Amino acid sequence: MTEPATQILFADAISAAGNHCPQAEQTFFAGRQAFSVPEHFAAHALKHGLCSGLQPRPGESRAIALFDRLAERLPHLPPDTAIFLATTVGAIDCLEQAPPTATPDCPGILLDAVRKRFPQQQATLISAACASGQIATACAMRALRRNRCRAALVIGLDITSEFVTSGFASLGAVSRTITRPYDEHRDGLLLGEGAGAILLSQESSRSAPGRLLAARESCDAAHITAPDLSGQQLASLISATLQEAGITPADIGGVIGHGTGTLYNDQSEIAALAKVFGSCAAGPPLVSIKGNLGHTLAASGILQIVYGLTFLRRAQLPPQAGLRHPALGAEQFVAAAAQKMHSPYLLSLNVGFGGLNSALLLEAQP
Amino acid sequence: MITAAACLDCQKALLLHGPELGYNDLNELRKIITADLQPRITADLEDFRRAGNPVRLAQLGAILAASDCPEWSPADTACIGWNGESCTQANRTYWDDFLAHGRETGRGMFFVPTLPSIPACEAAITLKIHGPVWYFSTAADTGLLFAALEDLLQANPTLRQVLVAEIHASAACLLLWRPSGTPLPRCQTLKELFFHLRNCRSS
Repeated sequence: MTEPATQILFADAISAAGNHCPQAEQTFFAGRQAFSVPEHFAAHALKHGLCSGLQPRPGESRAIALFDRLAERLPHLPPDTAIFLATTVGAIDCLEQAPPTATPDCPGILLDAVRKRFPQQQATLISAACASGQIATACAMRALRRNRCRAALVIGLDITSEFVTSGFASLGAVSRTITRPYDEHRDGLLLGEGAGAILLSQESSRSAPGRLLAARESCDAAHITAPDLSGQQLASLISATLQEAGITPADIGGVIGHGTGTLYNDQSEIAALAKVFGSCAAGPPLVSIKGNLGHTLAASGILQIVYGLTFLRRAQLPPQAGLRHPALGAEQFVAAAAQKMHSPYLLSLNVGFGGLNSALLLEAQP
Repeated sequence: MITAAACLDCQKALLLHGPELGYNDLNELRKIITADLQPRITADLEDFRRAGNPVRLAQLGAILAASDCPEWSPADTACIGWNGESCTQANRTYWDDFLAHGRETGRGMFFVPTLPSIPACEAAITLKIHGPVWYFSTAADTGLLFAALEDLLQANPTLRQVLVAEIHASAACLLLWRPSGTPLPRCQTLKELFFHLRNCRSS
């Protein structure tokens, strides 16, 4: 039996694509890649997707400054709102600035800031690598559907830092030039920072910009950093998610992929999409917003939902930023021009280290 | 209900239904486990040597908890990390190594464990668990933990149980949980719950 849809009462995001959603919408539909070299750490000329004008106070974490900027824009929270914070490394710059003897709990510092701003709410930290945002959303949906809370605020946030950039570079995952998700000649990801928030409820609302129909997660259980290249687990997860919502692959109007621009991630995703949509007359349009604003880690899932609502409103997916020649198998999904969506159903995918997979189904408000 | 459990540190391990195991270090525990592995448990410890203690404890504890369960099956299982020490020490280890190498070359073997979800992921890879895997942190109250696990299983009818892991730098407690009508006592940690259950069994 399908569960009643979860209403998205509010959605907002800050990223390199824009400080506000309308600005980000322009970035996406212009196919613009919003990358620059950071000045707040030694990035060795590597480009990043940076939130403009983000200036932490002396000694303050960039994550806290970003959270404060987002929090000022949040609506009044209904009583009995649970908060789900998705982050991977949280206020990791606190470790970079700490004396060698200190071991700050960097995700915990961010969680404490959330609790301090919302002292009446119960706040939970969810961390599932780069799938954190969507998995936190899935947890929130489950809590709402079991009446654990009246509303749920899901926040996804991660920052750029020397810690994270050096780490991804050590794995050979970072592009030295520009990121090109789903491109034949892609050579890696570019990191970004961002924060997004969605306020969810099971109570119907005509003013809600969209609805969440289903969300599921799974694990490849294959390798700690590499995905299962066959895409089998991800494909099974997508099928189960569609089944939960009672819709078929042919009903899907578009897909926001994880699309990091690394060889393995994109290959695995394309393989999964081919398995699920192979029998359709035409593959649904696919886009990765990481081509515009970089890989924002735990924020990426929330940004996909927030910006996905914009795409649903326009019934259009933006051009794939950075695309020149689609990778083998991706030709039927991606395009360098905007693509029409034939239905109000948008599938969003997140994957992460550890073989974590997440699929989430979004619907435009009928 | 808790169907099986393992509580271990770097020198001894306790099972909910089994005897105490003593060893000099986690490598020795690995050898003991590998030699005694029951045929019904398939475990992959390929990455064991390069892992830090939290990951090793998660991997070995997961195998021990599975071996403590008469009806172990990875196919219908989720693996969830909860509270514990998270990634604090792993972050410090990576960063110090990066600084020691002149801020030029980070090392992936130290970077990957900096994510709080990694011990649960490594446990899932070890036992080939394909269900949901993530880490979450709440107030120290197992009531909050089991409420979230109930929600998870309610929404996933193909799941029957959750391997839940509380991992610290040099100790870990892993429980196999299934929903039942009998409420569990509320504790601050899984270790506290483990010893409560073990004491109930022996008394």
